[in-house]
Amino acid sequence: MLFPTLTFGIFFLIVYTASWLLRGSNEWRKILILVASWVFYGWWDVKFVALLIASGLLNWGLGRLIVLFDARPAPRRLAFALGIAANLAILATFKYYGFFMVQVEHLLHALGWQRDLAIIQIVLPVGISFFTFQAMSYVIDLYRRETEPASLLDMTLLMSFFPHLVAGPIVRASHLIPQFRQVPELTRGMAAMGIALIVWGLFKKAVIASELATGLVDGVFGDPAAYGRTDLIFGAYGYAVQIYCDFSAYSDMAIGLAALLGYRFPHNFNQPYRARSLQDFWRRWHISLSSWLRDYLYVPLGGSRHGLRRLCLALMTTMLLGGLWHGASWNFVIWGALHGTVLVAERLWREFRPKAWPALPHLLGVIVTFHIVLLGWIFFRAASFPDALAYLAGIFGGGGGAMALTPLLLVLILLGMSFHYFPPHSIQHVAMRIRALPALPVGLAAGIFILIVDAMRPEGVAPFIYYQF
Amino acid sequence: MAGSKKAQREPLPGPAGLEDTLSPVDLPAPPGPLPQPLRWTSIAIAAAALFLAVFNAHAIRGWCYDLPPGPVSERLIGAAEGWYAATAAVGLNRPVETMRGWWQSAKEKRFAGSAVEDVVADPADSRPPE
Repeated sequence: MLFPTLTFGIFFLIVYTASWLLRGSNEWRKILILVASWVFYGWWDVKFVALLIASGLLNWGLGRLIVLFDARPAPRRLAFALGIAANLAILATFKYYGFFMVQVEHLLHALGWQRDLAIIQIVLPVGISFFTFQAMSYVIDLYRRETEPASLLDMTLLMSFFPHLVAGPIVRASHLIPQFRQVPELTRGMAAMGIALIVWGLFKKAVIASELATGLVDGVFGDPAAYGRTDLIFGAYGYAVQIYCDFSAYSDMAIGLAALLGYRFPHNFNQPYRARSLQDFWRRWHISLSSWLRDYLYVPLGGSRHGLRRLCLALMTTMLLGGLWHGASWNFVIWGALHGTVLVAERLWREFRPKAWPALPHLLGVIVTFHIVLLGWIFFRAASFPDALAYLAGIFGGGGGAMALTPLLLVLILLGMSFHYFPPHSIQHVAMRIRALPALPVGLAAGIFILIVDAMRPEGVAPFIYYQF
Repeated sequence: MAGSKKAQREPLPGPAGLEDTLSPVDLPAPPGPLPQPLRWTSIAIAAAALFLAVFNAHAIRGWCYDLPPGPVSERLIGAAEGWYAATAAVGLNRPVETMRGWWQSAKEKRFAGSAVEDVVADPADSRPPE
C-alpha cells in the first residue's frame, strides 16, 4: 500500500476516524493502530507480518532480560549480545545472504572450484533495515540505561507503526515509547503542519520524482550508451533531485500522517544540497540514519576520543557499513567508501590546513560538496559497477546527439534544486499561517492542491526508492 | 471557528522559535488559544476528501477498475461510473481535465533538435473509457 494512492487514502481515513473515536482508552487505541499497521504491511506480503511480530517479541523479550539482570553484569551483557546478534542475523539472512553466497561462489570459481552453489533465493521484506535498526536502538538504549523498558504492546507498535514502517524516519524507542504511554494530544499546529507536509510530500513524489524518473533518469541509467553527454549530465542532476524529492517526500508524509494521529516524528531532511561540506551534508540528509550511525557505530568505534587515526578509521568504517545498510551490492559499498574518504579528507584538511591558507568560500564549498554527492549518486543509482563506469565514461567522453531532456524536465530539475535554497523553516511558517485559518478553507485548499497534483502526476505510482532498503 | 484576525496576523518567529526542535511539527506556541483541534482537523480532512470526490471522480472510477474482479468490485464500478457521469454532466471534471491537458502539452514540448521519441507512456492509454 503506497502513500500516494486512493487505497491508502481510504485506509488512513478509517484509521484516523477510529483512532480518535477510541481516544478514551489509550490501550485500545494503540491496539487498533497496531492491527492497522499489520494490515498496511500485510498488503505487500502477509507472510512478513509474522516476521515483524516475531522480531518485536524477540526484542521485547531480550529487553526484559536486560532489565531483569540489572544487577548482574555477565547475564545482562549476554542478553544484550544476543539481542544485537539476533537483529544482525535477521538482516544477514534476508538482506545479505544472497550477496554473500554469490561472492563465495565467485571466490571458489577463482580458486578453480567449478561447481555452482545451491543459493536459496530469499525475498527481501519491505523496510526490514528500518524496523531492525529501530529494534536495535531499543536494545542498545536499554543496555545503556538510556530508555525505560517498553510494554509488549508499545514495543511491537514502535516497530510496526505504519507511517514509518517501510522507509523511516528511524524513530528511536526513547523518542516514541514515551509518546505511546498516554493518549496523544493533537494541536492545530501539529495538524496544520501534518496537512502541509502530506500535501507537499505528495507534490514532490507524484510530480517531480515520478516525472523525472519516467521521463529521463530511468532511461539514461538503463542504457547510458544510447544517450549523449547532455542527457547523461542532466540525468545525474535529475537523479539527485529525484532521490531527494522521493525520499524526503516519504519522510514528510510519514511525519505528517503520524502528526494527524497525534505523534511527533523527528526531523529527517534539512535542505541537504545547500550543505557546505560533506559533514554538513550528513547533518541534513537522512538525519535519523546518520544520527543512528553516529550514536551506535561511530561513537562506540572510538569517534574522536582516541586520536586522529582512530577517528579516520571510525569514520571510514561507519560510512562503509552505512553504504552496505542500503543494500547488498558493491555499488553501495563504493558509495559509502566515497563518502567516507571525503569525510576523512575534510577532517584531515581541517586538522592540517596551513593557517595562512584561506578557507574555502561558502558558495564554492556548496558547489564542490554537491558534486561529490552527485558522483556518489551515480554509483548509488547504477545497476552495477561497470554500469556506473560506463555512465561516467559517457559524461566525460560521450558525444552529443539528440536530446531526451525536455524543457519541462529541466524546469523540474531546477525547481527541485531551488527547494534547498528556500528560507529555512518555510513550511513551518506556512503551517503557522494555516493553523490560524478556519478549517473549511484549509480543507478546500488542500483538496485543490491535491487535485492539481493529480492532474500532473503520471498514471500509476512507482514505489518509493527507499522501499528496497 | 478560531480564525480570528488577531491570530491570522501572528508574527513569524525568529529562528529561535524553530531551531533545535525535536520534530518538524513542533511549532512555537500561538499567541492566542486555537480551540477544538480535533474538530478543526476532522473538518479540514473531510472538506478535502469531499472536494476530491466531487472534482476528481475520474480517480475514484480508475481505482474501482483496478480492484480485483468480483461481485463487490462490479457493484463499486457501477456506482463509480454513475458518480463520474453525474459529475461530468455538470462539468465538474473539466478543471482536472483542463489541467491535465496543459500538463500534457508542457510534457510534449522539446528543445530544438531533441529526440522525437517519447519515453513516457501516454497516460490516456491506461485510463478507462470516457
